[in-house]
Amino acid sequence: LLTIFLVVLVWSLHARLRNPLTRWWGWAWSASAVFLAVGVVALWIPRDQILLKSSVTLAAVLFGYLHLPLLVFGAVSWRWPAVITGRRALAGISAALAAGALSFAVSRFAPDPITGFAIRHAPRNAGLAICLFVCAWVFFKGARESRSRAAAITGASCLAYAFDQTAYAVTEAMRITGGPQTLLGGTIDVSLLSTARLLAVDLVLICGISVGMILLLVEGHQQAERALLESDRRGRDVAEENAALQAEIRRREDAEQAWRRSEDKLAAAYRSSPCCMAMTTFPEGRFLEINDGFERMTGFSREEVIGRTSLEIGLWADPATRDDWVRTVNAEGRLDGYECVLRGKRGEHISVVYSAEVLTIGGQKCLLGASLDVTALKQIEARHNAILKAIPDWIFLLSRDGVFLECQVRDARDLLMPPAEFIGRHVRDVLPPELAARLIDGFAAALRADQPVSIEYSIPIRDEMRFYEVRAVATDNEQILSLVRDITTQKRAERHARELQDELAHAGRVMALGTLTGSLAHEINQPLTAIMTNAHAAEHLLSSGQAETGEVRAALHDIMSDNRRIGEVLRRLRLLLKKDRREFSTVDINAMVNEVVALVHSHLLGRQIALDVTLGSNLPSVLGDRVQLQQVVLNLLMNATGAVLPTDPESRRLSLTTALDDGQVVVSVTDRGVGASDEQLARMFEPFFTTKSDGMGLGLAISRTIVDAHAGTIGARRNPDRGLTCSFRLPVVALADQPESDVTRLLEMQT
Amino acid sequence: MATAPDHPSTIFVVDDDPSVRTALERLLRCTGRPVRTFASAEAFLEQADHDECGCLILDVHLGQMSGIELQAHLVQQCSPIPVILTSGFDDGEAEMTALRMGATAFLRKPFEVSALLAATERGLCRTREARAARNGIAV
Repeated sequence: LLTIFLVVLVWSLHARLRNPLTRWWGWAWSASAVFLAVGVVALWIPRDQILLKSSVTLAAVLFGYLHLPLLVFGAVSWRWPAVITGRRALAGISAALAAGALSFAVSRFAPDPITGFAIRHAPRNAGLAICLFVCAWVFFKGARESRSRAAAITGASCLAYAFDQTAYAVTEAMRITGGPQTLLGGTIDVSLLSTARLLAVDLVLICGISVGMILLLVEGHQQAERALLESDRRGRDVAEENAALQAEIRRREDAEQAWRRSEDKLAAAYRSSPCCMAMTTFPEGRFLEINDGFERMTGFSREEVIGRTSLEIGLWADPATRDDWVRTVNAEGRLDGYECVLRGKRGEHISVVYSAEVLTIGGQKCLLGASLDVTALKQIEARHNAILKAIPDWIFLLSRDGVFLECQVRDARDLLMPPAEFIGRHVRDVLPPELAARLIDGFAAALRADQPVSIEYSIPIRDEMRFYEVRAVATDNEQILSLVRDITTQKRAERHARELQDELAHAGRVMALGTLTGSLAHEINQPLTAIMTNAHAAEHLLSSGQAETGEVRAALHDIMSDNRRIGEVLRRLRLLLKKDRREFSTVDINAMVNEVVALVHSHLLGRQIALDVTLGSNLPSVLGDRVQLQQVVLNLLMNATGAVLPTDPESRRLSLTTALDDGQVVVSVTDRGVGASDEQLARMFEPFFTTKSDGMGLGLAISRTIVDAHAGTIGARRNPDRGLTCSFRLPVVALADQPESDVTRLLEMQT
Repeated sequence: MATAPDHPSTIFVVDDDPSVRTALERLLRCTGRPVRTFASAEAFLEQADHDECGCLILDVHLGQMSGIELQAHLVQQCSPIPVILTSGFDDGEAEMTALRMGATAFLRKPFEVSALLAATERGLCRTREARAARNGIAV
């Protein structure tokens, strides 16, 4: 029954028993089954077939002994898989087989078959008991440590079986020795032990062990499955890692290939680089290798250089530089943008920027360096620096959004604040808001227009109003270069000149009116005469008693009107004699001309000169100083008067016209007088140039100054038949079309 | 006041300035003299009946023909009309010329009205005397 049970067990579990942890169990059970089966066969063989019976018995004994170490191996390898090595297993199995063979040999000399059986089996049972104790200990230990119920059951079964085998061994020993048949004072019959050793007990115990072991197998299986899953997961991780590694390897391989290719390219680049490159020993500076750029830059050929030192070929403009150069390399291990001056083969100086790395080749320290010829750049830089030094302006560099970046100022004390206080700050935060806004607008315009933008401004510095002109231009990299010039002196000179001009103009007016004095007296004498006459008439009418109220009233009315006439003359006169600063306003040209005509009326009358006035219709206004413009017209008329006076009365005819021509208002005075030579014509508007004995030659010169100040032009030309035409032109201001600020700006510009 | 036809006493005024002209006309008329006015020498020459003229008050500075030229013209024609010249300008040359040609007076504007009236009276007186002498010779 046991044999069948064990065969079924082994067969059904053979797949599980391949596991290295449990394969010894399979072998143990197999050996056990073979032992029991062969033992049964041996019992059945009749005694007369001695040889066969002995052989089968020997086989049974050997399998019985073989079973012992296998059991122990099974238990130990379950707990400590690495302990049962091949040699140990072989030694254990050999010892068991030797013991079996010995016990069989001894049993041949037993007096009877029963004793022989006992001799064969007692040591086996004892050994089995010991083995089972060992197994029980192993399983219990395992059960305690891994809390395995299966191990506990197995251990308990092993322990129980061990006691069973112990009892069996004792029984066998008693039988061999023929000792007392009872134990413990006759309470236990030895033969009872033998009979108590029922097959069923064995069966139950072996079953217990087997079930425990099956449970162990199941547990092991579950663990194995978990381990498998775990290892699966690890496997996947490992696979992923592996794939990544392989990709990395491929990448490195590619990189290496690319490197090899690029190495060729590098070599080609080294040779053909426009940079001057050289490899020298360090620190002697003996040339090992140079490239074409070196030959080009220095003029030295490869043959002249290789194997010699830089000092030998005289490459340093100042050999002392080399010491500093060597120190730098020693200190920093490399050179980065080192600026120095070399000397070419023809003795020319070459400014270079030099960078180098220290390499060790074959134990020799080398320097691989490249230098860039910056001679031209240096020259440009020097020139720029000289220009910048020569410019008296302040130079500011600003970012495109208006932050001060750099400044160059000859004397920082002239500035509103020291450079440190505004560099890095925005224009807005440095200058007064209105000025900052104007500058920012100007900068924006410069960036847009890509041409310089000029801004004039004034700012009080240390209680003194100073004037500046800013010229802002956008640089290539979208920064603003702003040149600021102090134009205070210029402005003051301009103002002074303007004041002088005004004074001169006034003097001119006084002079011109001086020549008019007689005529002006006439202009006043006429109405004065009328007044006096009318007053007498009225008095006469009243005193004679024949008063006609109407006539008296008419006389008084005429007196008042003549009085106004005198007032008007005086007003014009006072206006022209006023010594005012130039004051620009919009001027109606025709009205202005009429005033002058009224003023010179008597003058012309007294000289029998006729004047035709042709006024253009719908003339736009001009921007100017009314009095000074009148002065110009007056001067032109007086000049023309002088030209016609020497002629006969029929030729004494002037014409004065106003017109609009090409967006300008033109005032012309034409005479049919004596005309002028080319030289006179050319010098007419020069100061102190005159053809008249009584003139100072200032009238026309002053007129030109005035017209210039009005952004106009003045000139004279010969008429086709006779005489001259003098005219001046003034720009028209279309006030309605222009915003107020523009007019103001125009005024500022012109003043 | 009735005026005898053989006693021409009308005063002629030639002045280009209308207000002076009007004022003189008003003054002389209220002194009882008939007055005729002209704006230019040319108008006088064209329109005036010289026989009527008792005295001529003539402005020197006129538009085309000046007062001096008109006076010269009258002298050339042996006109007996006494001429009183007036001028708003300070021109002594014209005064010299006028007086040399026998002007009754040269008055600078603004003149005293009494001086003008006196000169006028003198002029009218001379006309009367001249007429009387001529009539006398004729008679």
